[in-house]
Order: sequence, then structure tokens, then C-alpha cells
Amino acid sequence: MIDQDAPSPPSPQTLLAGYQPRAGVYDEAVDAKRGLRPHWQTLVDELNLLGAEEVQRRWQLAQKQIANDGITFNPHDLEGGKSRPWILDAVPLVLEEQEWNGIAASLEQRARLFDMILRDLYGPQNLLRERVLPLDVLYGHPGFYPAFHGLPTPDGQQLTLYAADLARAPDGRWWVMGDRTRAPFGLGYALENRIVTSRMFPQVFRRCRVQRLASYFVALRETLREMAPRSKDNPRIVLWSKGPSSRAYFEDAYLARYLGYTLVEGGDLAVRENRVWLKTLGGLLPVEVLLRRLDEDDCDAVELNPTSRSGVSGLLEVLRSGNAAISNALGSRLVESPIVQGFLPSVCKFLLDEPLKMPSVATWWCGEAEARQYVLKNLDSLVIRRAFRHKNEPPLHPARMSADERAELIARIQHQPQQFVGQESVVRSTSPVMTDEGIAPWHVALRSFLVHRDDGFVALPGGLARVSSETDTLDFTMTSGERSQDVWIRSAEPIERVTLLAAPGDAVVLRRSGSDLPSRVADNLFWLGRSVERAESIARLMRTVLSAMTGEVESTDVLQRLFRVLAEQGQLDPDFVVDGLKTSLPEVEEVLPEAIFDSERPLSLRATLNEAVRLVSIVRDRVSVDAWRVIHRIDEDFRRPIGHAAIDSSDVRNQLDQLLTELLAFAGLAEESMTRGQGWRFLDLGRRIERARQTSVLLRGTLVTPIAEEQALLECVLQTADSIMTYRTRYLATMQTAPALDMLLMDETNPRSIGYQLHIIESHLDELPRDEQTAVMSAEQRLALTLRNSVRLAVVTDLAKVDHSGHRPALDRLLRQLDDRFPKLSDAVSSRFLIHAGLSRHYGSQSEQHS
Amino acid sequence: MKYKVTHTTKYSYSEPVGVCHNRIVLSPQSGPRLHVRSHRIVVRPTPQIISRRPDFFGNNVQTFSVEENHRQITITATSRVEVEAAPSLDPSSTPTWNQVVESLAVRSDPAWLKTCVYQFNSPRITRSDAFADYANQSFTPERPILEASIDLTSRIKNDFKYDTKATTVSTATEEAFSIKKGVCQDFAHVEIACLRSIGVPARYVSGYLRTLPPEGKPRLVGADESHAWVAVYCGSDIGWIDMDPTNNCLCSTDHVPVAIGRDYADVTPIKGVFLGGGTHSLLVSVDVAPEE
Repeated sequence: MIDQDAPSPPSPQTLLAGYQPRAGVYDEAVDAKRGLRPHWQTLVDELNLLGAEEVQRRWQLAQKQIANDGITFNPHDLEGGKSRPWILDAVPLVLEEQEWNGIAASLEQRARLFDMILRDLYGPQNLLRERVLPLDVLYGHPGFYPAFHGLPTPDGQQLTLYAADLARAPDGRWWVMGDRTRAPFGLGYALENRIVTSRMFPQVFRRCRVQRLASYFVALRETLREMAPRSKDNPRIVLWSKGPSSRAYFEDAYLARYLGYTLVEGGDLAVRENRVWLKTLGGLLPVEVLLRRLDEDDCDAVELNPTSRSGVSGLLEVLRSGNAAISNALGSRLVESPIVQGFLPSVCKFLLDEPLKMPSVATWWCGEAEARQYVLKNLDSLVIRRAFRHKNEPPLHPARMSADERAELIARIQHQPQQFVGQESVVRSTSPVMTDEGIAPWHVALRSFLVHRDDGFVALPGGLARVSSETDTLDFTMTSGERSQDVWIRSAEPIERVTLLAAPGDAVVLRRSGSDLPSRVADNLFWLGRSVERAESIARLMRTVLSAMTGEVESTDVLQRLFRVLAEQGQLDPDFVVDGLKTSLPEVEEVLPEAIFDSERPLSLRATLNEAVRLVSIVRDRVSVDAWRVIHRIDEDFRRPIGHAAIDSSDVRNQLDQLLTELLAFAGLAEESMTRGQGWRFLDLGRRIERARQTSVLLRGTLVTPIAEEQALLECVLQTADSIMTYRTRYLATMQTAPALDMLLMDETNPRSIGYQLHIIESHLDELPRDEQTAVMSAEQRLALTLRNSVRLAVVTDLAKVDHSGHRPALDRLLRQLDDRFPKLSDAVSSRFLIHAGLSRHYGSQSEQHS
Repeated sequence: MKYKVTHTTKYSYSEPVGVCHNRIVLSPQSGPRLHVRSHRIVVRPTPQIISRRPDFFGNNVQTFSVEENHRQITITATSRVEVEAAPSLDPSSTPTWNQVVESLAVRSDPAWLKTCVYQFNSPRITRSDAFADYANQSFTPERPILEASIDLTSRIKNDFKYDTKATTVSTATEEAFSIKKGVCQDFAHVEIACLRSIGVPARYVSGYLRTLPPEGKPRLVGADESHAWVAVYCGSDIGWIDMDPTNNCLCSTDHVPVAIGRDYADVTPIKGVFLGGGTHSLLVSVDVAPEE
């Protein structure tokens, strides 16, 4: 037990040797007399036992795991913002249980208070009437919508999720630096930190008796479940994300997967008959609860921001009718504005008749004359923030401004005083961080998470710690911290296990098909299938061409034909095919390896892989972690060798070999680990359509106009189509056109043949959801059937026949037909299942003008 | 004065619309000077669901969805109303505008909580020094509020040109203010911005204006338009006074109010979102017929 930890001996700590906390700053691990705080003892002992080298090694492994899991961080809420890897420190932040209970109780009070403030402001407004809060808090907020007033919520609850940003001052007291009441960010990262850290030091973790996080998530799931207006036993809850361009998207997907909710974007939802529905391949499915991860402005274009594309039109009316619930309630962000902080003590007295348990950082709202004067007089010691947290804006430090900037700031404050607050800055406590230069004291920012449960709130026994060598950078958003740490709340008692699995009492309805696949996700999976298959085809062709060029094939005609296919695929400029091969060959040898890695060429292998990576990151809640890792590794590995020198083609061939192995691993995972639901079907459909098309392009480019020595070419074609082994076992060394065509076109037992693809495509299409009533075949079914029949009915000896002008007319006709129809088939599938009625629009400039 | 007001809005689409969600503010509400004798809204095609409720400002708001394919949607609001004449006031004996603002600031005005929301910025109106400077020419210190407001209203009428081509429904108030042109919506926005910029509560009123035919000509049915004007808060004794900067007058029996809000955004007659539709066109007809 913690209490029984022996007081730290003054002897040198191996781990903390040379650890020098700054004077005048509270340190989490070491007290003012340089003694180790008791609750750190076990951790330090255990880490010492492992030794610095082992700790370092495990940390590197963990960091690799984070990279492999693709845990990144996109600090910009914009398209094109670059993600950066998430850096987790090896050392956790350790807090002692008793102190933590105090913090949790204080934050519980605060969350309850915010909920009550919201209930009041959007209801009876006693806080305004009794002048406890200024009207500016409500009406001055740039995001105030009258529509939020009186919007019903289950039990009147406004706040479900709350997060507080804490700092510990030099005197050891905790302060709330900021509040988050919209859709608190960081929960997913806190969870991932825990998973990685506990794996990094499993034994240490157990010995330290760290409180588990699962209880919080159980509470979260229960609370959301109980919010459902209908089917409370097993309601459909969706996690509503702003989409892949938002900086929270990684976390959205992560939490959706962990909590078992469907990840949706506004476009996946629709309002019909005054209810919210999830648009799936199988039709509309009712949604009961929305876990909102986007700003309230964006939620409904009818009544809120009309230009937002992320919303669900008509949602507010559904909420008003109580036919769906949303968490947090719309309008909840009001109370996270810094303007509120300064008034909290009196609000607490007014609403709860008790003192505020944990103070906010001292805040002066410039809308009040006295406060304004104080702020202007003490500018150098204060931080200036916007009074309303509407967009993410960094705080201003007047002390560091030039004279001009300062004068400008003063003018702005005097001009619009309601828009600004002055806040004291807190010198944050430090905690041990494993830096490159050894263990060092870095400043800590702690984000705590709370969720509504029963009559109050429960806190996540842990949190997200951010550490930085400078104290100021932590004052801004979560993104500015240089590293993060897991937070360990040590328990005096042995730890009870909590799991997220359903309690034995709740029988889960058995499900098989998973028809709740949003159309958008199906669309992405379809294109993912196409792009990985496309990458595989290009890689195979490239491999064949590179081998052929380095002399295994004598005939230049063979190369010419292969180049033609390359040009057809957009891998090579068509000029190279037109010119005499003798002049172009050396050039192609130089150009081709570069073209492979050139992501600027829209159809290059690298660009195709980029597309696959992009699609996987969008559907990552639908693919297994292993599948994600494979694609992630491809993304990392398949890059142009560093250096300015020409690329050696044998290097490229090695890379292509490795790429093909990894692509096959991905295909294998899809085949073996994905349930045969609609998601898998669309992925596979995309793959089959692409493979059939690629083979058809290959055959047309090489065999329609035969060359004199076709044997060598046939060998290349069979190799590219991955059928050479089968051919050899069947026909030994005799290379002939008719059997090769049979194998690549018609043989439905060869998984590489066009006939096989068509067979699979047909059966996929038959399995897709459709209107049971109609006996008529759909457009895509008819197309697939026509394609398959034209292949099956072809006579292979006819196809192989060469006419007097040196062509194979029958083969040409058939392949042209295929080339023409594959894109049509793809479009037919898209328009039927994947594109749902297009974009919604609002009347906008076509509204009636008052004249 | 009694009227039968018919307000028809028709959207036509080149391609079918599968679904539309709408919020309409077309229903007048009885008040001190307005008596609504009957009112009815007809939507074609008939919506699946239509619901009505008061909004934050006390207006009658309806929401409805049409969830079947349609190429055209028609919304007809028919109201029979009676408007009473505005009480006659001596502008020079109203409280000074400074008194009105001060009694709100110190909360001695009993209606402060309901009134002060109209002092703040709103979606279409941002207070600024430029608006304040313009207002201050009329609102000299300690001038009676109604006198000052009437002066401001007539200055806007004189300084601004009524021009239906100069602005659109989404023109920013600042732009209308700088080009000094626009229609009633712009005039109202400008006046509200001026008033709020010096702290006087002001709100936007949507409604109808009775138009008198030229002498000797019959009244043309459906040739009227929906209209908008402002209301100025003149202290708790007098309350809100409606005035029309487009026509430079105080509103009385010629003006039929429908809804109030902070600006156009709060009382947009029809707001909505639809799926599909191709290109679309809008046809509005308003008829304000005096009745016996």
C-alpha cells in the first residue's frame, strides 16, 4: 500500500540520478528536499530494476508500435494539414489515490455546475435575471443560436462529457486552466497511451496498482444508452465525426471502434418522418443517440449554419420532438468560454450554495470596467485570451510583445472590451520525462475527462498528460505539447477488473449480416479494393518489364509490346512507344524507376499506393489493425531510395518483390479475417473489377497484334498475370497462344483469369441488397451477365487466329467489348449503391428578400 | 383596419427533389395592436409532418418536410387580421435616449432581461463605430428617443436610394451602408445597426405593407410585397415603436407585422434544405386586401 512505502532514502536513484527540478516549481516526483515522493517509489524501483538501457529499448519498441498503429496527430483542422506522429513518453505521471479523489470530486462539482448553468441559460435564465452572470455570456457569444433555447434533452441533461485542463501551481494546488464542454478531444489518446504504456511495462504496471480506465467507458456507454428515446436495451448509437479532414478524425475512428459505435459523417445520416436514420446499403436504419464530435453550428443546415456541409438537415426538429438524443446537447460550448471562469465562484454559491472546490485560474473579463482597468494595468504579468472560445486562437503574452503590438492590443481591448479576458499565468509543475539527454523535469498539463452518470459525473481515473520543456506552450490547445504521458492513479486496494463486455444480464441480440454499413464506407472500400489491386497489377508488370530489360529477353519486340501496356496504364509517356526502341531503350531504363516513385504522376505506382493509404485511413474503423499495419508499412517502405544518383534497377526489383508480398498479405487478411458482410463484398468487388480490367489491358496490348516470336512474350504475359506456374504444370514448356488465352481469359478455375473475376463479380452482385419485389435484373447485374457470357461463349481457337493483316480480330473484338464495359459496370455499381442522392442544398440566395 | 393577406411562395425545380426540410415564419401573432382573426398555411404537396411552436422571440414558427419526389412546392399563408392604429405620441415628450439606455444598463427597467438581447450583435448585424457615428448625428445627448429615432429614420430615407438591383437577400449590412442603396431589408438592417451601435435596443420586423393603387386605377391583386421595418425600444412606459425607414413613417394601420427578430436571419420567411432539384426558381406573390 502506498502509505507503507518507505520514505525515500537520500541515496542516489539510478533512474533519477541527475534529476534536478527547478527551484520555485512544484515537482511531481521529488519534494523540495530532493526526496522521492512516496507514491513514486514503486515505479522508480521497478524501472531501476529494468535498467536504463532496457527502459530505452522498450520505449523504442513502444514508439514503433505507435507508428505502426498509425497513431498520428493532425494539428490543423483543415484539408492538407500534415499529421505528425504521436510521441508518448516512457515515464507515466503518477498521482496518489487520495489526492486524485479530491481532484475528481472538485471536477465532478464543476461539471455539475456547468450542466446547471446551461440548463438555466437555455431555460429560466435566473443567473441572468439575478445578475450572477452578465448577458454577454449568452447573447454576446458569437455562436449563440436562439434555436438552442428550450431544446429538450433527456432528463434535461445538457452536459454528458466534460474535460478540464489542469495545472499544478508551485504551492502544490491544482488549478483549472480551461474547460472543454463541446466534444472533448483527447480521450482516445489517453486510452492509447494507457494501452501502450501498460504493454511497455506490464509488470511495473501491475505492481503499481494502477486504476483501470475501463470503468469510465462503461459509464459512458451506459449513459449514452440510457439517453436513447427508444429501444433502450440496444439502441443504435453513432459517433458523428466531422470527417477525415478534421483534426479529431483519428480519435473519432479510434473511439468508435473501441466503443463499438458506427462512425458516421453528416452525409451518412438523414432525417425522415421526424427521426434520424443511418443510410446503409440495406436501407435506412433508425438512430437513437448521436455522440457528437463536431461543432454545434455544423449540425443542421436548416436552423443553424446554412453553409455547413457536415450536418443533418432537420435534426433540430427531431431533437425537439424527442425522437433522438445528442451528446453533448447543442449549445453546450457556451460555458467553456473563458468569460465564464471569473464568475464561477459566485455562480457556484448561487446554484449549489457551496464554495467552488477547485479554483479557475484567476480571470478578469474586460467587459467590466474595474476588471478592464486591472488588466490594462497589469498587462505584463497576464495572458490575454478571447472571452469566447469560438475558434482556436493562441493566447497572447503582452510581456513579450513589441511596443507597437502592445499598443495595438490595448487599442483592441479598449475598443471591444467584452471580447477579452486577462488571466494569470501559472508556472506549471514538472515531472520526470525521458529526454534524449536523460531524465529531465518538464512541465505538465493534465487533461481530465468526466462523464455524466446517474445524478452526477464520474471521472476517468487517469487522463492525458502533456509535457513540455516550456511552461507556456501547454497553455494553448492539446496539440502544442511536445510529448504526452500516461497518467497513473495508484490504488491502495487491489485492482478490480472491469470490462467493456456486456453484463451477463443483458442478452445481446444475435446479428450476422452487419447491414448497417454506411454507403459512404462501402464506396471507400470499393475504391480501396480497386486501388490495391491496381497497385498489384502495376507492380507485377513493372517487375516483368525490369527483368526483360536487363537482358533475360532477347527480342526487342517483346519489350515494345510491354512498353505499350505500360503506356496504356499511364506508367510511361506514349512517346517512348512510338519512337524506335533502339533510341528509347536506354532512356526508358532511366525513366521507368523514377516514374514508379513519382507521386506527382496521377497513375504512378506510388500515387496509387497513396490513394490506397488515404482510403485505408478513412475506413480504418472497418479494417483490422493488422490490415492497417500492412498498408502502413507499405507506405513507409515503398519509397524512392535516398540519394540523387540514378536508381539501380535491381534495388527497384527488390522493392517490388517486397511490395507484392505485402500486398498479398493485405489480400490474405481481407480474405481470412473480414466477415463476409457487405463491407468485404464491396472491397472484393472493387478488386475483381480492377483485376479483370487490368488483365484485359495486358492482353490487348500484347497479343492482339502478334509478334514474330510470341513465345517469349507469352511467358512475360503469363508471368505478369501470375499464371506461369499453372501454365507450366499444365503444358510444360510449350508456349502457345491458345492455351495461354484459355488460361487467362476463360478458365474459371484460375483465380487470375478474367472469367473467374466475372464469375465472382456476378455472385457478389446477386448478394447485394436490393428490392425484393422486383423480378427484373438490375443494370449492373445485366452488365455483369453480358460480360460473362461473351467470355464464356468465345471459342479460344478463334480468338487465337491471326488474319491476313497480322491481327487477331476475334480477340480484339472481345477485349474491346470488355474494355468498354468494365468502367460501365463500375459506374453502375457506384450509382446504385454508393452515391446517395448527392449533396443537399439550401435555398440561400433564392430566399425571399424583404423588399 | 381589417385585411386579408395572402402570401404564396412557389419553388420550381428542373429536376425532381426527393426530400426537403423547411422552417417557415409566415404566421402573424396577435399582439397589442394586431388581432389575428383567422390564419392558415397550406403546403402542396402535402407534407408528411408539419409542426408549429413559438420560437425564442415569440413568433409562430412551423417546420415541415416533404419526403416524396416533387418538382414544385407551394406554400400559401392566408391571414385575416385587424390592425389598430398606433397610439399617437408626442415625440418631444418621450424619455431621452440616454435615460432609456441607462435604465437598461442599471437594470431598473423592468423589461431589461427581455429587451437587452436586442442590443447585441446578431447574425447579420455587427455594431461598429461607423454606424454609431451615423446614429449620433440624430442621437444628440439627451434628445428624446422617439424624436431622435424619427430623425434617424428620415435621414436613412433621404441618404439611401431604394434600388431593387443593388442588393440581394444576403447582402451584408456594411455593404448596403457603404453603397447607400438597397431595399427595405437593407434599410432596416442599417437602422438597427445604427441604433445598437449606440446601445439602443432595436429589432427587425417582417410583415406586409398595404399599397394604395394610383388614383382611378383598380387595386392589382398579388402585386404587393412582403416588407420589413424596425422597432425601437422607447423605455418601459412606451415599449417598442415600429417605424419604416423605407417609407419614412411611423407604422400604423398600413403595416401588418408577422414576426420579430434580431435581424432577417431570425425571421427568414422560408428556410430550407432540399436534395436534388437541378436549377430552381422562386415565385412569390403577396396580396394585402382591405376588408370590411
